[in-house]
Amino acid sequence: MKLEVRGGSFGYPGGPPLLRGVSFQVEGGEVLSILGPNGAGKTTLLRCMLGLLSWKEGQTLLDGQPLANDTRRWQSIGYVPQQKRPTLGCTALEMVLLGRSPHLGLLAQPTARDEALARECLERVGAEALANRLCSQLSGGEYQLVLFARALAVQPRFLVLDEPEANLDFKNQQKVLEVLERLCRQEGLGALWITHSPQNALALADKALLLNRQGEYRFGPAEEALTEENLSWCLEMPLKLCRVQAGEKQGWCVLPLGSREKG
Amino acid sequence: MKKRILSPVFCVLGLAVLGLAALCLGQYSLSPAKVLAALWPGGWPGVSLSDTDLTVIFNVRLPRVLLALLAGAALSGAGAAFQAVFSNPLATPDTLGVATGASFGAVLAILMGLPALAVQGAALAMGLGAVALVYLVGQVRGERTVLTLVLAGLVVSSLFSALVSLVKYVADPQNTLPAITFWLMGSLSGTTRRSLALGLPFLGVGVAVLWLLRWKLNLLALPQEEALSLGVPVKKLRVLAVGAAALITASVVSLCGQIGWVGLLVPHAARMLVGGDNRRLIPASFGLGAAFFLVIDTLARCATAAEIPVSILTAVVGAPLFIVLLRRTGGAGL
Repeated sequence: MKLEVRGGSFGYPGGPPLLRGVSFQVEGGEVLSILGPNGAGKTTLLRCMLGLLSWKEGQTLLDGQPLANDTRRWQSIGYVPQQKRPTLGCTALEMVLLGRSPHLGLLAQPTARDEALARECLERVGAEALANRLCSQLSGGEYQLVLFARALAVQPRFLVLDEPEANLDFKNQQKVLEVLERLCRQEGLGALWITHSPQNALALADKALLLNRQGEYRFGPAEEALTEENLSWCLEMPLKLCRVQAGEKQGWCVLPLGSREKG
Repeated sequence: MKKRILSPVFCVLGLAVLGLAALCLGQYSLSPAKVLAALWPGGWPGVSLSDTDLTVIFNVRLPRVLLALLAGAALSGAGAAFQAVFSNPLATPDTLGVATGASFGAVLAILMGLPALAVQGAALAMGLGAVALVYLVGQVRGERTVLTLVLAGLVVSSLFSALVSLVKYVADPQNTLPAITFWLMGSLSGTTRRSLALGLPFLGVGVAVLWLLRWKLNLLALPQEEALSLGVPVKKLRVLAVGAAALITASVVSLCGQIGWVGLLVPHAARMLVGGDNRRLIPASFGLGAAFFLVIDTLARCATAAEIPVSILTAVVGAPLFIVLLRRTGGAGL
């Protein structure tokens, strides 16, 4: 189980090259955090990797095979895009059920088994109480869990998440991180996620990919990639990492040293 | 589970009773026994039927009742489908200019003094032509998004409504113009067995496609990238759904003129009753639309000595009904 990008390059038509020769890989049970400033091409990278955009050069490999360009690839990859609410009313369970779509033909209808699986996915993210609520009436944190459950209903081997904790309050951010961590550690899913928070990246990453606005990237195991020097390079501002400990818990705090100073 | 099995059966029974009542009602009134005896020869001994009875039932009322049921069902289903495709609750069967295009085809044929069947054919062809034009115009820089399609629909729709105005302007005010005006307001009075036989296959195909796609319509209502990432061939699916809904709209306009309100309001009424999941919404729209349109058409031909145009009644009857429903359910499911 391995998802890999080899020498991926991309630029929008008429624009400068955005991604240049990016290579990285992630395996089952691993979490890859992707960090970068606005406009560095993080979401574009995911889109290219998933084939929603075409690489100018390079390719995506799933278990060593080039990623199929048809709808089959969506049977192994669960994608959680940035939140956009649907306009028409549907309940959380109906939304999760849509995750069965990659396994069902054009004219097929989901069966009772699919529905049971959708319920189970809601339980796995701890959101079974939301099943019959309308998506339009859920809070941002609740809806994020529903999107999570929908990606799980695909029964994927890899989860790809675009800023899953954006716009959530502090507690909900932790909840999303915990769910993601549990899925990877206990259920062996591989995950790639984009985040704007270096602190969240430090809290949950086996590997890290840092992009800057010049189209350069740094990739490596988390402890080697997520250093003060690399984070300052990527986010274009000086910062300090502090190790903190409270009882059993330990982790990193990120202290920004001001955006104007030259580090 | 009980509810799920009961309600479709209940709906079909309800529609059958409504249909039977509609067959009895009219200027030439028939007893339910006579109607049943005609529909089931030998089943009701002792009821004698005159030739006039049989003609009224089989050549006049039955085609009309069947058309009202099917057109109402199809138009409501098409409305629900368009609302899903454009993920917009304000979308109607005419969002892509199909109804306006079909109207232009029909009024042009009336202007040229063509027979009824030619009017029907011209309307169908021009309606489908309009949606093809929308697809052509809606492609901007190789991309065809919901927004470009809706904008193209707006443009094509106004173009055809200008052309309809032009035809009305040049039409003879003594006889052609009233015919055009009456036709534009919608009526099922021209229904014959032949016109029904011509229009039925198109309606049937459209209804069948929407029914089969009902769950996938939920996916079309998602943002495009999410739908793609759930393995949905978005473009293909959209062409299928829009094609089926356009086929329905053009056929309905070709058979009974412009019908306002049904395609917009019935899906919303259905949504308040069964929720937004198209697996239930599409069948519910079919059932509710069939019942509503049959009642409207029966009113149109029985309420006064002369026919009342259907579009007037759909609005006059539909608006209060909709307001009551909105109050009762508090807009649940919207």
